Amino acid sequence: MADIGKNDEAVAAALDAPVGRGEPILQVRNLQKHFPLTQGILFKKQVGAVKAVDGVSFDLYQGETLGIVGESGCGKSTVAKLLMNLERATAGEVFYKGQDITKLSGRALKAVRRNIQMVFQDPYTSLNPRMTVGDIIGEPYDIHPEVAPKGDRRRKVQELLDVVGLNPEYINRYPHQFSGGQRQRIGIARGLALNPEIIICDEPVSALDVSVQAQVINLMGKLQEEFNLSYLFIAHDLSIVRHISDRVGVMYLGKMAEIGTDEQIYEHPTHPYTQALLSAVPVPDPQARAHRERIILTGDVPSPANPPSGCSFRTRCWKAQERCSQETPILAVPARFQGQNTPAAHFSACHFAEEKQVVPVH
Amino acid sequence: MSIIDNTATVPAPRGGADHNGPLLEVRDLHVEFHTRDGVAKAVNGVNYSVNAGETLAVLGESGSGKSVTAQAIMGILDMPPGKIPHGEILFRGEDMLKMSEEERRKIRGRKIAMIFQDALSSLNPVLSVGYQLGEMFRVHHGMSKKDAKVKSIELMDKVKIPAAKARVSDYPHQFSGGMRQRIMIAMALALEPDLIIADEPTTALDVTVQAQVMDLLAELQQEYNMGLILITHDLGVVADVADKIAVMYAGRIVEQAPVHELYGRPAHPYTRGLLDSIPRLDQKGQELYAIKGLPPNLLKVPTGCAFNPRCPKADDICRTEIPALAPVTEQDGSDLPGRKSACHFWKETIHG
Repeated sequence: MADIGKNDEAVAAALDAPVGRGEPILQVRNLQKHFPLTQGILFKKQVGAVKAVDGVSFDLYQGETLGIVGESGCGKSTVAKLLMNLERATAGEVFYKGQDITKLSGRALKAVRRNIQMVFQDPYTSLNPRMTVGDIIGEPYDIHPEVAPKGDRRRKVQELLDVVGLNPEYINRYPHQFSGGQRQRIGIARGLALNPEIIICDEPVSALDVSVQAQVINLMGKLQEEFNLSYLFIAHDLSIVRHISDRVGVMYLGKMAEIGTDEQIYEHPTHPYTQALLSAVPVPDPQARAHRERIILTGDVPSPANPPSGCSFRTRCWKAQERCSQETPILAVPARFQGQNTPAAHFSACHFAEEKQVVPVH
Repeated sequence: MSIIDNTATVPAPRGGADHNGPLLEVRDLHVEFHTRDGVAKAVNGVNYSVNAGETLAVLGESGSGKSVTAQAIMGILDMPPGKIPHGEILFRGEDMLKMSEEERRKIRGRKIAMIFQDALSSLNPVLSVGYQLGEMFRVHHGMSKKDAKVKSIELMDKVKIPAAKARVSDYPHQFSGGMRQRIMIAMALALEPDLIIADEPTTALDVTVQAQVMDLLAELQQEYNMGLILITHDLGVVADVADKIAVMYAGRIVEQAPVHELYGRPAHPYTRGLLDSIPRLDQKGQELYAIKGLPPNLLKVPTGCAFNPRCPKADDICRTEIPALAPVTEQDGSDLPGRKSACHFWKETIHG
C-alpha cells in the first residue's frame, strides 16, 4: 500500500510540472480499441471485433490546436474517449507529460482528468436538464474540491459565465432557457472550470446554426490564448477545422491516413483519401462550380468489423493495385519525398502517395 | 379540377400544356402556430416560384420558417396547432389551399414529392424497403404486389443501389446512411413528379456521400426535367447546385437572387453576414466575422425589420417599418433581373 501511495505522489508531482510551449504535452502511440462482437446469451463467445481505433499515433503540442477530421465511423470520437480514459484502450499508450495514462487508476487518474477536459457535440443532451447552470458548471468542483473552496464556488462559476460571454446573473437558470449557442458556451465553461491544460472538443459546433458557429469558434480561439490551452479539435467540417487548427490529422477506418500542418494537408495532400475528402466539400462560390475537379468516391466506408486487408482505403481508391491489398502502408513521410524540402514531405500512409492540389487557392 | 381529372391514371405531359406560368408559385403565405404561450408566426408572407427544370434553394437557419413553408406546400402541416391565415399556393395555376383533402392527396406524391432529412426516422423500420417503395404504385396506380415489387427493383437500380434485386426485401436498418437517402429519393421519384422538395437531404451524411447523393439528385432532375426546391443551411451545397436562392429570416424572405450574383454582391446585411462568417484562407488566425446576437423568438419577433437587433446597419427606420421585398437595381438604375432585397439600406449594402 505504502508503495502505491508513494507512486501516486510521484505521478502527481510529474503531472504538476509545467510543459513549455511547443513541447509535446500528449503523445499517443499505437492506440487501439477493439469492441468485441459476441454470440450466444449464456455462454458468450467472441466471434470478432469492431476495430474502432486500430493503431493511431500522434503528438499534441502545448498551446496548439490539432484538428482531427474523418467521416462518421472512422473512430475519431472513440479516440477522444480513449484520451479521456472513458474507454479502456485495447492496446497502445497515451503519454500525458510522460505518464502513460491508460495504465493509471484511482487517485492518479483523477489528477490527470483534472487537466484533460472535454466539450461535447450536442449541447442539448450533454447538459442535465434538472440542474441549474450554476450546478452544472460547479459540479467539477465537487469532484476536485482542492480547486475551489466551498464558499468561493459561486463566485468562480459567475466568473466562468462571464468568461464565456454569458450574463453571470443566469446562474440559477436551467438549460432549456438557453439557445443552442448559449448551451455550448455553458458546456465550454464547464470544461474550463478546473483550469485544464488540454480540452478535447468533439464536434463542438456541428449542432449550431451557421451564424452562431462563428461566435463559438471565436470564443474558443480567445480562450485558448487567455488560458494557454491545447485543443484536440474533432470535426467533420473541413473549413472550420482549417480555420482553427495548426495541424490536421485525417482518419479513415480507425487509422490515421495523413497528418501534417494545415497548409500541408489542405494545399499539398498526398493521400488519395484526403484528396477525395477535400474535393467533395462544397465550396461556397458558384464561380468554382464549373472548373472544379471533383473526385467522387464510390460506395461506402467498409465495416470496421471486417476491414479490407492491406490498406483499408483500397476498396474505394482509384489508385489501388495488387500491393495495396497485401501490404499495409505505414504512416511516414513517403519515400519519394524523403529528404526533400517540399510541403509534400509530411506523414502519409499510402504506397502511391503523390501530390495533387484539389482545393482552389483563394 | 381539370388537371386532377385527366391525370387520374397516367402522368400528365411535362410542361403543363394548359398552363404556362411557373410550375409552383407561393404567394403571400402566412403560417402561424397557436401555442399555450401565444401565437408563433413561423411564416410571414413568403413569395417564391419554381419553374420546371429549375432549382430554387431556400437558405435559412433553424426557425427561419423554411421547412414550415415546405410542409405547407406538401399539405402535411399539423393543423391544429398550425394555421394558414393568408396566402395562396398555386400549382400549375391552381390554388392548392382551396382544394379538398382528396384532391390534394392526388397531387401529393404524384405531382409533388418530398425528400426528408433523416432517412432513418422517415422510413418505417418494420417494413421492407421494397414494400415501402411499392406502396406508391399500389396506392396511386392500384398495381398488384408482384408488379409493384418489380417496379421497386427498377427504382432501386435507378438510384444506383447495388444488387437491387437481392436487397429489395431488406429492412431500412440494413442499409447505410447514404443508401437510405437513396431509397428516400427513389420513393420521391416513384411516380415521376413534376416537383421535388428536398428538406436538408444531405445534412445527416458525410461529405463524400453527400457529394454522391447531390450528384444523383441533379442527374435525375435533369432527366425528368423536374423543379426542385432545396431547403438547406449550407452555403456550400447551395453554390454547387442552385439556380436561384431565397434567403429566409424569421419567416420572411429577406433576399432573392440568381446564385452567381448573391455570392458576389449580397444586397441584405444578413446574407452578407452569413457569407462573411465562412472561414476563409486569408483570414486564418484572425477572428471570424460573427453575426452578433441570436435568431429571434418567433413568439415576439422584433418590430420593424426582424433582423434589426443584430444588424450593423440598423437605424431608426429599421425598428419601426418592415422593409418590403423590393427589386434591386444597378447603381445607374438599370435592372438586375431576379434580384430582390428586403432592406431599407439595400443600396448601401450592395454598392457600398
